[in-house]
Amino acid sequence: MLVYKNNKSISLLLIIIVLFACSKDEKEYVYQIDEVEISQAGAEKPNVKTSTEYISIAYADVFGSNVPTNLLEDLKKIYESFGDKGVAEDLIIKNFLNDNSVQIPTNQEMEENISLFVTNAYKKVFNRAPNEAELWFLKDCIEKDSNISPEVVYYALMTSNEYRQF
Amino acid sequence: MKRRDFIKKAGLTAAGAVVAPYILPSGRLFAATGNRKVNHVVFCMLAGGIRNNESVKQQEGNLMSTMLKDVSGGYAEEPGFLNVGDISANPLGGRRLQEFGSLLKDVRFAEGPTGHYNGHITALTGRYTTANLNLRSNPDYPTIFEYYRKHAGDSAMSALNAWWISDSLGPYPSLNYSSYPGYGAGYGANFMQPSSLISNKGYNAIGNSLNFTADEKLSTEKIRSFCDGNFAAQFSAESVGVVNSITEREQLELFLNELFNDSISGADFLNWGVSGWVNSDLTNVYYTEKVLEKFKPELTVLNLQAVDICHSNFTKYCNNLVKADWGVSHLWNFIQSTPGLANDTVMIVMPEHGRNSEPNTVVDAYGRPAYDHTSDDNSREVFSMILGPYNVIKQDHEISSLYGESIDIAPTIANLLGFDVDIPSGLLPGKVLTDVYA
Repeated sequence: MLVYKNNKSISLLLIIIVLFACSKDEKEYVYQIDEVEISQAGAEKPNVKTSTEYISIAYADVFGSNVPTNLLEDLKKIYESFGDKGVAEDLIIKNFLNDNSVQIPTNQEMEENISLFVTNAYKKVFNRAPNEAELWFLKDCIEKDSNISPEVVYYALMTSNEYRQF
Repeated sequence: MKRRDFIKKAGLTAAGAVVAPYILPSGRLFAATGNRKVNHVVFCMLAGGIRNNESVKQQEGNLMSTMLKDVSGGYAEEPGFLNVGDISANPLGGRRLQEFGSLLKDVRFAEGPTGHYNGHITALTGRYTTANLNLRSNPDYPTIFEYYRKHAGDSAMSALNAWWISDSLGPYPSLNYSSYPGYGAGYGANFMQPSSLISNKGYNAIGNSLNFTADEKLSTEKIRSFCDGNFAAQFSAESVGVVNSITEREQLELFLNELFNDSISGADFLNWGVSGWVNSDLTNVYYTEKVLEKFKPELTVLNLQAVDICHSNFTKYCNNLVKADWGVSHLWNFIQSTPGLANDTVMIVMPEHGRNSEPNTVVDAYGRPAYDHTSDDNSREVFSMILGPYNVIKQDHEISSLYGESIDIAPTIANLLGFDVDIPSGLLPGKVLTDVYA
């Protein structure tokens, strides 16, 4: 049995030597996958924002600062005063976006680098980078549809279901 | 036609006749099994805790002189009470509200603590609540709104047809739907608390919103739909509360803008009486009328609670009762003046509970003691008034003996709107108040 095993090892060694002996000076290819940041759309956001969280985060996303306490209290009251939260959120976000001190990119900034605009918008609003499909979709929309302004994009993202959760 | 083809086609036609649902003019697929008596019900919870002593028994004179006929003498201008000249004229002219329907003078809130929130829950779910209450949670059992939206038509019954209009926030926004399996937000009512919403702060918060063009709206929808599609697996549907369709949401936003404009141009309730006449109850009545006018919902519930000041000030309780009485009659008059609602609406009025027979230790400036509501027998005594077309509700009818409970309102509403027989058995223990039917 030991003899058989030794013979087998020797045969394998000979084959390798022959193979290397035959090889020429060829270009070496290494096949692998490029490094890609992978994220599932809206992954791991199982919690629903409270009214305080929703308003505070939305304010910070649009104005780049913390919401003043008295305004937060007023907005919470408004938020709770209407049963369809979608309507309340819609009006609050549209009101924010109509403010002169809003801090979102301009049309020109968006046009200059649409990919960067989309990536930054996703990072700011959804707290994550867009995946490839999302980046392509939104970039395509912006390139083909002249109606799409930064306000339209931010409004759409901030009134989507993903924005309601964290 | 060959015999085989004929048999095949005839068979398909017959099958289609059996299987194809009947599409109603309202867009519903299936009609409720029962017969509707009217197409609209308004339930006015004359809440805040009203004793029968001051309402139907009129122990302080007739404080509800637009609703109730005088028992012995009319309104008595006692010290601290509103001056007769400061009370706005009866919206019904020379008539009293009870003439337009049936007055149940002795109704019971039979079980559970006599608290405002569980009183509301009992009225809206048709079930007494004896368990400990989590004030921020939805009711355990389905509300009348959910029964209505689920059983009065098909599951797609519009939320614009069901409204809950509250005079205050706190736990009350939670009453538009329950946590009961198979019901919930998908069948809930639209909720509004007008006094917080239609205010200066409300306008500053949501009244100056960005306007998108029609094309921009389409673009936002396209992007949002894409995002929502990606997030569908994780979305918690209950988080949005009651859901209206995109078109309905646009109607709601338009409605809110109309209310802001109305407020800016001077809301009509400012003309309802002398300065100081309109309180939170009457504001709620005003905005309920706006909802009724705009959407003509089939089921509307509102509450008035200003009388709860009785915990500390009996005199103001009496004055607020006078105002609440006026508001209820104004609401009925509005309904009867509105095409689409007139002669096709039943309005039910009931306090959520009464108040104690014995006072607490607080005495007001006029020497009148205050009253709480801590589940004594007196706090379980309430009245009810059910008003409607003469061919549906007995007119100018009184039931003085003990008849009806708080849990009977929900099944009565279900019966009036023709879906009581579609509600799974065992969910509503109360009875339909058929003694008031014509």
